[in-house]
Amino acid sequence: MSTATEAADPIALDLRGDSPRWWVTWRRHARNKPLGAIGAAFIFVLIVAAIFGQDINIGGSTIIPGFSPHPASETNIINKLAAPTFPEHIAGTDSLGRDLFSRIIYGARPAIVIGIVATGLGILGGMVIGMISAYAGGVTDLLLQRISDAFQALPPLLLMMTLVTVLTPSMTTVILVIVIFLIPGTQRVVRGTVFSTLENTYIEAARTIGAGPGRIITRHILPNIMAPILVIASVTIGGTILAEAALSFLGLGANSAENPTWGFILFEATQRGNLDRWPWLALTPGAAITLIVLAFNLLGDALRDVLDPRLRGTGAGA
Amino acid sequence: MTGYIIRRIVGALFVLLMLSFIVFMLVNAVPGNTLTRILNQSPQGVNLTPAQIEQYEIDLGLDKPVLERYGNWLWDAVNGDLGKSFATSLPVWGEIQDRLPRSIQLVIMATLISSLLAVPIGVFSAIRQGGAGDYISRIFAILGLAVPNFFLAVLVVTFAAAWLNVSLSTIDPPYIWDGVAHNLEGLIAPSLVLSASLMATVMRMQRSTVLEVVNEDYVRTARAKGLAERAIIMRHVIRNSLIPVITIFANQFAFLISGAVIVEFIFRIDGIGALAVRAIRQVDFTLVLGISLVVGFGVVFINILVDLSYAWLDPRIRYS
Repeated sequence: MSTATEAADPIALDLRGDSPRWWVTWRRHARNKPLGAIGAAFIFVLIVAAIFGQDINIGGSTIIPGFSPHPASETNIINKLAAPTFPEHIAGTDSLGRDLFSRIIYGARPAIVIGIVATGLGILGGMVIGMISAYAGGVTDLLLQRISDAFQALPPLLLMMTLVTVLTPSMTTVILVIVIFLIPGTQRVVRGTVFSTLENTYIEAARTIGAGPGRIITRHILPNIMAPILVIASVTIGGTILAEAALSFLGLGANSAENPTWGFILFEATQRGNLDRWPWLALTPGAAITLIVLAFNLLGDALRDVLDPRLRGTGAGA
Repeated sequence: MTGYIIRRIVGALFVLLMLSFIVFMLVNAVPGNTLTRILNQSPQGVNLTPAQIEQYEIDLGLDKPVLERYGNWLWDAVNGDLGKSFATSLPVWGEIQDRLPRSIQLVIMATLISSLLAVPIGVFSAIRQGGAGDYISRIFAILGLAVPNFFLAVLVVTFAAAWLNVSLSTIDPPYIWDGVAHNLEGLIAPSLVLSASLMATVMRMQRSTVLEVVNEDYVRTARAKGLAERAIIMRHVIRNSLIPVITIFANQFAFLISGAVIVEFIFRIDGIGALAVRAIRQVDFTLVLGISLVVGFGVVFINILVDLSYAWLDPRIRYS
């Protein structure tokens, strides 16, 4: 990349063929939506940390050693509650002498996995139920909508806490519980979108030439609702990560000895008295949660503006 | 209008019935025996003989089929009796009643704070679009949505306590009618924390609806007939931009209660949220059920109120 061509039209650059197409597209979007690009870059860093932060083991031997300076659970009592120092402990150590920066790196994995898997499954579930509800109509629609009203009348945290307690906390439970929390809201948006899509004359035309429900859904409805779905998914991930962090903070999250969650690290910090004397205990995990949610929200906002201007500022998923 | 209200109330009762059924089935679907779970929580539970356990089951009515238990529980609930707490044997409604005033006050204060601040800021941000004030308030709104309320609460409790030399987390505020000054001293900080994310959401919504309304034909008409800009904003823009914002308040109400759970837990306010955390930790199912029903009732009630205020603000809705 020479700096002289930086300001030139990206399309012209592409025609000259000195950079790949995806890079050109990416750069054009990044220039129009700098905040979205910053969010995307930060998410990329976190995904790298989630994958390569800890050792990757296959069949008992380490294939790729992790870049995290220490294992998350490596204690060192002599060096407990040490203030941040460069380069040994850039985020300080906790009351057992564990390196906080390493714990944050290890915590990236549950945060990213839950954020992506739970949001994906929740949106998928919402799509299935929303489409069934809109397409079936009548009593099925009424019943599904009232059940979803009932779920939404419960404060999400209360619902999730009860569910986790009933099912005992684990990664799978937390994902399942967040999926249950996401479905009612998502299905409502999908149902609304499907309804307005069904009004179009091309659906009537498809029916007239004898297309069945399966064909209408896959060929005519799905392509039309994909943009709003993608936007909802991207603005929902931040909320999903927040929900898991809140559960972890209350001791009902996906925390484990190998992979401490950020919410739990923050909870641990509050269990230590005189927190104002070692503020890094709370600031490090709190900043990690805030930044990742911020990054997903910024990316979501940018995607929404690019893909679906109608949804701008509706606060969907906020 | 009357028909509309009746339709909404019937719908709401159905939702509440569904909610109670879902939660009842949920807490009774626990793998293993409900009673063993409860007894494992209590120290004397370990040494009980089978006969004593059986007696417990009969006392708690756990020997009957689940649908019959649901029917009995619902009948009692309709008659104002939510049963007794498994953990403390105190009446559930009494436990809730004692804590309701503080939680309601917390939620009302948070709502007031966010509407009084966020609505004007949102309007200002929109009419000065692209200005420095607009950028600053948008940055704060984006941050407000990302900062978890529990992190904010921890920060306030820790650092405000250290710097201002006050202990925020140990004040158990009295009811407002038992001393306004003490009550506010204890509840101002938590309600500010609670209002943060609501404020951000409302501000963003207010800003974007004002931006939409400003482009409407009737605003152009008002301008064309030479109305002062101030009058246009006050009379035409703000009034018409409020409807979507009111919906946000309704949509966020359940989230606000979620926030109250966390905030009460961290600030150690003995409210419904703190009670819910305790009930869930102690697997106190009657209490969990009672809280869910009361809170669900609140959410459904607020939604009806908002729908009615809608119909009042915009006459077109009454007839649809």
